[in-house]
Amino acid sequence: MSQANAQALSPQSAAAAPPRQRRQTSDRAIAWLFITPTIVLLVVMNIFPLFYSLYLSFNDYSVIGSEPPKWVALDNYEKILTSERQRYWHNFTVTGRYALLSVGLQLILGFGLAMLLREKFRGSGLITTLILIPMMLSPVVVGLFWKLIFDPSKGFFNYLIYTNPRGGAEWLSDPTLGLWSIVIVDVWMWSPFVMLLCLSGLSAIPDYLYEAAAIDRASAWFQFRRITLPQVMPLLLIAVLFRTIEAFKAFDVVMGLTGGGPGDTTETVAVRLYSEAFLGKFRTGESSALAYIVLIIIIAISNLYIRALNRAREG
Amino acid sequence: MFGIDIPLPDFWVVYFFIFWVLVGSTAAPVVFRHKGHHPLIGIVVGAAVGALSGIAFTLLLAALQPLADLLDDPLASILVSIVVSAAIILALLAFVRRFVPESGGAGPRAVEAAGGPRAPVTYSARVDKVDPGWQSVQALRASVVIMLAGLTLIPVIWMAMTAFKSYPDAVASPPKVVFDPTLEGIVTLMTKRRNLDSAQIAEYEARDDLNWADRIMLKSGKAIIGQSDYVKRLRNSLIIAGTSTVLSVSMGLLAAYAFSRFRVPGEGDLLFFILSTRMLPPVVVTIPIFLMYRELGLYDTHLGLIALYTAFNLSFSVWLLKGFIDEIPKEYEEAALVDGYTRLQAFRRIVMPEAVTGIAATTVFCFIFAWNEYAFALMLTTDKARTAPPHIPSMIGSGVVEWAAIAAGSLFFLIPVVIVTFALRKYLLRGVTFGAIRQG
Repeated sequence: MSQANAQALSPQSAAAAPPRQRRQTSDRAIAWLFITPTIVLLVVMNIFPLFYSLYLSFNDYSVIGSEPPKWVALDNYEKILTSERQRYWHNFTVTGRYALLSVGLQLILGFGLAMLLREKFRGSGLITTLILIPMMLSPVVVGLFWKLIFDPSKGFFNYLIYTNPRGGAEWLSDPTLGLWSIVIVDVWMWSPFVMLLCLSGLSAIPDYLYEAAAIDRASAWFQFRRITLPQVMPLLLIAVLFRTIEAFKAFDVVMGLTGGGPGDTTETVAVRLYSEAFLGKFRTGESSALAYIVLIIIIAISNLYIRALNRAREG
Repeated sequence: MFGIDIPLPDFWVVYFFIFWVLVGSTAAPVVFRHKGHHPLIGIVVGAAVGALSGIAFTLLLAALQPLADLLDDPLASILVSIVVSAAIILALLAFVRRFVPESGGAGPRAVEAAGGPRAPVTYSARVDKVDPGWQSVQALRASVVIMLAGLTLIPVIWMAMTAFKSYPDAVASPPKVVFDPTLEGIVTLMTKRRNLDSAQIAEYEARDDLNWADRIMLKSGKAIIGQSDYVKRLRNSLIIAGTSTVLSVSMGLLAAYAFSRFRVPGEGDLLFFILSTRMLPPVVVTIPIFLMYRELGLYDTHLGLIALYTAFNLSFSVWLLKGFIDEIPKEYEEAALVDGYTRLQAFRRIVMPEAVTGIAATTVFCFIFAWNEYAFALMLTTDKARTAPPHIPSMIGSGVVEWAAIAAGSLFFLIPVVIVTFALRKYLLRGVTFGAIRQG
């Protein structure tokens, strides 16, 4: 009786098995059917290459050389961590300085902008979107047109910061200003991102907290320090972690702007990795080892990052 | 305007003049409205106050010139002028607020003052937002934000301007703000050219089968001999970004649905694994991929880049789409299943229409990533499949730097992204944080 009923209700399921059980088995099949292509592609394009480069990192090998990979165990790592430490350490300090300066400035500017945009006014949506444009642009193209802007004679940057340009600064060919010019471009591009994060944090703060504080005659500074800041903190943390990960990836803007120069003063880890692996001697083995060291650092940071993301989503 | 060469004017004088007028004309009407006058009077008075402060800024800047010379740092004179002129405009506004009389007319305030009913609150719901002090501060905030947004956009606007400059204008020192617009840069970008001597120029000028592009190039003594590589690169960008986007969104949608609706063993680990590939510096992944592609003959092919971009975007699209699908109530599908839909039908007829905004947003984000991508394309292509991002910087390397052409190339490349940014503005935050955080 019930069988007949079920068939009458759903003519497609003419099978003999009870409909409930049938649906469950097909659910599992669908789940696997849906996930498999993704997993297969990711294994082929991500997991296999990662293991392959782990293997390469224990070998002395150059892709342009005719010799096959030669097993040297930990020699490559030893070279990077001990005998040629200073050269590599320089790249890490450049990356660190760049990350510290740009993330710090982005936090201040982004948070400030978010405070200004916090209360909506007519046209604030349009203004927010306009401010966000740099974030979406191609980093290498951005680096390139800032190169023209920074040019001491043809670019306008010096004209903007000096009213009467006498002996303008050589932004891209000065060893100390080189890093600053990258920081400026990075801040220009990514402060809007921090602003966007902060705005979403600010809009989530319930009004009653401020009302309660106002009733207790708390000062504006006190309200900012004890309500606004703690409530936005998780999002600021996300911004810091995200931007730090990006600093290790910093490649496009640097290549477009300075290409690591002058000398090696703006050579970040990613740029160094590129020149080891794809320029000059194509030191594949050694660069794979360096890549693995970077990989371990980034996995550590991104673990923290994902944990922070999950906490923000739940809270 | 045309044909006259004006060098970059003192930027900050213009900037702060506009800034103070903006501040005055938004802050003063608040006071005037509060006192029962027509806000238009406030705008006029405020603009006048702002203009006064702007003039004060200009004069100060000129007066402080000796100081700048002394310190050998003109920045100091700008900063002092900004602070002093800000003090002037604030003092003037405070003066206006204090001494503008209450309106004597029959405005709502006057009725209230005469013991009539309370003046209605018409312009804000929250009581503290009716306070003229708060409103003035808000007007000030809005002005500051608008001016900062203007400052932010200068590089982009400058690039758009450079794209329409002739070669001498583009490399002029000091840089030119006003110039003769020409399409020379765009034509240079799109074509290959050769130089002509004077006899050939005369011969070319006599011909009448020239189109507008030929004529533009002829002005600088060159003849067009074919299409440039840029057109090919842009086409490659379009093919590769388009195909990889379609693939990664459709595969991502299926996987996201499965992760969202079914219990997948080891789900957390799988999701983390999927995301972590996105965090790596591209160079780390490229070294083995390069070797693999060389073995498989995928180096410098469209297919190779498409596969790589698809894999990279897949992680992103799974995370983003999972967030969107999680928001669709499960009950919709359960109702459909009870009504006799199969799982696949429910997915197609119920989930997909509900998730359509999410799918659109994801598509656009994936497209932008593939469109902007530089590192992979630089290392895995040379010519046949090379996309625009690695090509544009390489235009610098060859002899004379045609900045106008480079700017035109960048402009064409950026226009789609700017349009899309406007279309996507509600989803931007979600996109850049892998769907974890929503915009308020």
